[in-house]
Amino acid sequence: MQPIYLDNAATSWPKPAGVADAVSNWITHVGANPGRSGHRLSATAARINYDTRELLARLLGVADSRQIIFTLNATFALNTVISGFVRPGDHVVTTSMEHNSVMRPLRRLADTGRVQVTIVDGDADGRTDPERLAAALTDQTRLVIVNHASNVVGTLAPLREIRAAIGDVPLLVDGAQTAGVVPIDVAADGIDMLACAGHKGLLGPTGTGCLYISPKLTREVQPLMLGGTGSNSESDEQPEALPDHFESGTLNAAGIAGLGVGVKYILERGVAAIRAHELELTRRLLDGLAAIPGVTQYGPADPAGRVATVSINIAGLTPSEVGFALDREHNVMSRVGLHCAPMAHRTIGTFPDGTVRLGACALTTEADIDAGLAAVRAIAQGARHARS
Amino acid sequence: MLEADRVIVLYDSIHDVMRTESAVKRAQLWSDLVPTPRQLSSECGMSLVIAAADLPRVLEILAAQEEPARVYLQQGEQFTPVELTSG
Repeated sequence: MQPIYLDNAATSWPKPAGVADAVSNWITHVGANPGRSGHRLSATAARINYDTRELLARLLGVADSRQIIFTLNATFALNTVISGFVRPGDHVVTTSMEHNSVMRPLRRLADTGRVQVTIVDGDADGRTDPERLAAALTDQTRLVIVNHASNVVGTLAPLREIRAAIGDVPLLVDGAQTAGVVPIDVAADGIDMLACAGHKGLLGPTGTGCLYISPKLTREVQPLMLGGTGSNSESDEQPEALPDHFESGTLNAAGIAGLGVGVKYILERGVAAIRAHELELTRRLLDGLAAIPGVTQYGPADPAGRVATVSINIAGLTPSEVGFALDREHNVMSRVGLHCAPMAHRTIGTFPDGTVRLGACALTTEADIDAGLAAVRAIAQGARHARS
Repeated sequence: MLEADRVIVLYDSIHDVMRTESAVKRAQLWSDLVPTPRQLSSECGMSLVIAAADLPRVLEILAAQEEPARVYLQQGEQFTPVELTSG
């Protein structure tokens, strides 16, 4: 029986037709090191990387695709900026809704005693007030980091209002939950640096992601890794040319081939159409959950204020009990616990137990949502009977 | 201009080679990718080869690009640099 997959905030599934074929085709028929070996297969691999980079640039409103750097995931992209841009003596402002991929590297910097970090609390729905972010800025503030959408409750951050409030302070946006599902234009949205996961809304395989760095900041970010790039090989200095400067070691070219098909699907269907589809599914999910006694929802009531990620709890059951019952009794895949974002759970009042997270992607259907709702209904009913 | 067998276009990054190859293809010109000639660089990378007759059109394409290319006319074992007016 086909699983009912509602764990899309972690990794989207299913992928569009062609993603798996592209990965398989790459391994079966391409297989070579992209652009480094001087033969036809190597050239083909380089073309595939180039094409995917161009597609990502189109999707994100990036004028020059050299500013798109392939990474393993959003975490690698975020770490590159946090480790490579923030200097001793700097101050960083972020929000309480961040994932550990921001919180942990910031914590390590703060623990050195040479970097100050201010965490601005979101409200109980996970919203961040741009004016509170602005009020936290100091003369030493080097970087503001915001989650474009919470991975716990899906709450969207008002990027343009944040940009207006913080002036020209560099802004790093964690787009792990939004790239591919919410329209993003780095220039219009005031984004200086953007971290994206390839395996979520971009509909690619795991092990893919990207980092956009604006041209004005490119020379101010140090790469996280140094090494072979296939360029300037006569020198033991890291080449300055983009994207090589940030892409040492052989890329996940098979994954990038699949990512290209995912991004092409998004461009052909349209981000606005995908957003509309996900809004409709979110509304269906939220309305259905609201009608089930014993279910508590978190995050904005209006689907327009969030992506298709919903967190709930069921009275009388722990999130792990619910997640296990969803999987084993109802064939529904969810994600339970703290979702690598403990401070976000403190913000919405669900720490330390966490929540049960359900969410949709571009290929999720109404039938998937209805099956998820039926499962939650049955589990909640069972919990009520057990208590009575 | 020298009588050249072909023209070699070099960049620091394979990304720029791909970008120019893509632009040359869009202009419906012939091109090929070859290992960068040892005489020009000790790179392990690849360079773009175009027909010598297409050089004027390729120079127009290169002029529209931000990243500077290095262009050489090749005649047998001899490589002669081509000066780019802009780009």
